[in-house]
Formats: sequence, structure tokens, C-alpha cells
Amino acid sequence: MTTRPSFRDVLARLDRDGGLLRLAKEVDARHLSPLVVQAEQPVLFERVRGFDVKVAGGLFWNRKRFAAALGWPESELGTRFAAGALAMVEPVMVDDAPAQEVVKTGRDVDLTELPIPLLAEKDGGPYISAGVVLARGDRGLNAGCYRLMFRSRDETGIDLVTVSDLRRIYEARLARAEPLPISVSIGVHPIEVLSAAYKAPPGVSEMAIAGGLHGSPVPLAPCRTVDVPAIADAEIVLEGELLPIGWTEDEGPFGEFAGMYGDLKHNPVFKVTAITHRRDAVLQLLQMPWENAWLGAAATEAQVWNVLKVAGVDVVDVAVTEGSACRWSVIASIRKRAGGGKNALMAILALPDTKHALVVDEDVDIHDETQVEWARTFRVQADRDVIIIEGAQGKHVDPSVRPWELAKGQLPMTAKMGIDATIPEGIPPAFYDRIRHVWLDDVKLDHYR
Amino acid sequence: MTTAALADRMAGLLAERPRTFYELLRELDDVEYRAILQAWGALRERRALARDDHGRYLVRIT
Repeated sequence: MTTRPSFRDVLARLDRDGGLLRLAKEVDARHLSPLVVQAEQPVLFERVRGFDVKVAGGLFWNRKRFAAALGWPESELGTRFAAGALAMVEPVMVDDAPAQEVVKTGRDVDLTELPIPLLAEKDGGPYISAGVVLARGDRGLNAGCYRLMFRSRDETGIDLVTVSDLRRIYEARLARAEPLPISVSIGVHPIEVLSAAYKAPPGVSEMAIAGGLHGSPVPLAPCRTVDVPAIADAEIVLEGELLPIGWTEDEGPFGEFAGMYGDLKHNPVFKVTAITHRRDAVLQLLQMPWENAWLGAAATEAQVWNVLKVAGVDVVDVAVTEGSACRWSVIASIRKRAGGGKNALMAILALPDTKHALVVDEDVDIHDETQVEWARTFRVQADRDVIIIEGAQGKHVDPSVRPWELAKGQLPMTAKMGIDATIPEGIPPAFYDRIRHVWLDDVKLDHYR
Repeated sequence: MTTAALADRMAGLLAERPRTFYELLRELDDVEYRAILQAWGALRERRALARDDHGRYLVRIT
């Protein structure tokens, strides 16, 4: 086994740091989702009525929790991801697989032994939401995050509507009427979930990126019933095959990462041939929308850092906003040269996912909403500092592009907006001198308590 | 209640009117969650479920 921590090591660290709510009282599995939503910390449900599996949820609920789960400073999500992704470490195959301490195959396969939760009111059923799917393709081992809708004791639906590497691999198998073996590792280190959620360039292994982010290889172990590996110290692994039936079975609706429901879809079926798990296993639950959204945050911020550097912009800080599903709205602070605000906006808006961009000077803390609002109010003239680009690449998931009006196969277009909230050229910076209260460094309230 | 009997009860509720899975769950507050998963799987295996335009479940008429 390699030295990088496992999912339960992460839970133990959070617990030691006071960053985990352990609930020992028995809970009804119906109540997992609403309790995670209400909790002010990640939650470990130690007893779920009728099940022998624990549940952990809410680890990626916001920037603070996501960074804590990764073990990274909040301000370094993008820069750490960018650096780690360049220092890839290939995964290693190991013999010792804690994920196989308990193995159930054949007629013993029973997904109802897992407290698979119903997450949102209009969801088509209970969902496994935190699985890292591994499959072999012609370009090597592919990893991705896909939702799995409970169907029966040995079947789930899987959403393969959107273009993805897994969809491409599945289509090749489907053309030969062959099933596609996959493994689903649930309860793995957050870096592995983050990497699997990243759309790596063709031929680049997401698990090698995870190794780069860890600084040590991800341990993989051969599955017992299918020819594909799984993450060796996952809490739970589902082994099986995507049946060669194409997009034929109902799946969804599902409350998705953007905070709205996706439609009822037709998708393939995942036939489970084995369930293996650690003793005393923990099922991780990813609660939509923000837990899924934050998974994309580090990669988006890394992309913004990269394009700004390519554009010659002196970047200070970059942050995605949660309400934009951590990808469609970006704020950046820069050390500006004349015209640099507009240059930065053009670079950021060139990214396919970015719809809105806001650029401020380095004196503004982009993680402080009040400071950002102040800059937007007092450094912006809408007729001079707002850029609107019509007819750019859009996304179906955004209702404002009116996707229902599109012909079948037609791609949506969107308008992009950039706001240059840097100090306008020609206005002396002295006009923006901020109030500083007297004797602030010398007088402390604690002295008077 | 056996799994088959609970699956019949679910089918009866869906025969009354289309329901989301959540609406179905709200009608089965007296049943353990795992038993619901088991019965739902059994109902699926009967190939008796269909959907309306809103994604709600109904019982397929054969």
C-alpha cells in the first residue's frame, strides 16, 4: 500500500481537527439528505437503521469544507491543482486491497445492503452519487464521476447522455454488442474524486493526475469478477458491466450540480457482479448541487490562472463563485497595467464554461463579497467597463439559453459578460483611499474586557 | 409484510395516480427504508413501471 491517506484517514483527520460531526444516534436512511443539508459541518452517520454501513456526507459542501477535506489551503485550490496536474504519478497495482476485506458475488450481490439515499424531491430514485468509475479504453485507464440510480438488487442506471470518455468507450463496445466492464469505487480520498471529475486531455490518466496531487501513486487492485481495477482502499467497490443495450432505460430526473433538475433521460444499465468493501465500511454521499459543483472548482481556477498567465496578466488571486456552480462566474484580482482589466476579461471569457467574469485590483479581497461589491459599485461605469460578447458557446443546462427552442442536435449559444472593476484609467488612485480608523494597531478591545 | 406484498402496495399507489419516488416514499412512512429498496427492486424486475412526461412513475398497462 502506498503512503497517501485513505478516505477514512481523511475522516479521522477532520474529526481530530474538530471538523466532523459524528452522529451516534440511529438515523432513518430517509433523513440522510436533509440532515446533511442542515449540518454546519461534514457528518458521519455512525448508525443507519436497518443497515450495517455508515454514511458520510457534506465533505465538499463549500469552499472551506472542500479545502479541508483535501488538506489544502482554501486560497490554493487552483494553483495546487495546476501544479499537481503537471507532476503526474502513475497508479500502482497492489496485492493488499482493504476494499476486498468483504467480497460478495453472484446471488449474494445486493445493493439494498447499502443505505442509498434519496437526495431531492423530484429525483427518479435513490442515487449513489460519490462513485469513481474506472474503465479501460483504447487510450488506457479512464476515471470519471457518474451518478448511479438504484434500480434493483444488482442493477443501477448510469447517466451517459453527456459526451465523455466513458461514453466513447461504451459506444465502441456497444458497436460490437459487448458489455463494458467497470468498477465503481466509493469512499476514496477527495483528491481521487476531484481528479476523476476533471476532464483530462485524451490519453492523460485522471488517476495519474491524482497521484501528482498526492505526490504518491494511487493504489489500484484487480477486481474479482471483471477485468478492470478499482481503488484498493476504497470503502466500497461495485464491480460489473455496462450492458450493451444503449440508451434504452429510464433514468432521472436528478437534481444536478447547477441547482436545477435534469430531465428524465434514457440511459444504459450497470449490472453489478460483485460488491466488495472494507469491514465497517462508510458510504460517501455527495449532496447536490454544491458538493458536485465544488469538485470542478479547482480545475476551473487552475484554467483561469493559466489563461491569464498566457495573456500576460499579472494575476494575484482567482476564485469561482458557488452560485455559478463553481464554473460559470469567475472573479480575478490582478496587478493592472493600462488596459489590463479588459485583457484579463477577454482571456477569462475565452474559456468555454465561463459566462461571467469580474476583474478587480489587487487591493480587493476577492473572497470578501462586500469588497467585491464595493469595487463593482465605485470602479465601474457600465457604458465603459462592461463587455458583452454575443453568440458564444453555451450549455443546455442553463435555462436562460432557452434550450427547448433548439432543433435536435443544435448546440446552444450564450452571451458572455465581463465587468472591469479595476480603477479606471485616468482616475487618480488617491480617490479610492480607504478609510482607516485611528489607533487601530495600538488599541485592542481585549484590553478592556 | 413480504417484499412481494410491499411491491403490490407500491403498484397500487402508482395505479391511483403517477407519483415521484419521493411521493411514494411519503406514503410508506410505516415501512423500513431497506424494505422499500427491496420492494422497489422487485417491482422493477416485474418490468411494470413506466413514466409520464414529468418523470413520475406509473404502472404500465399491459
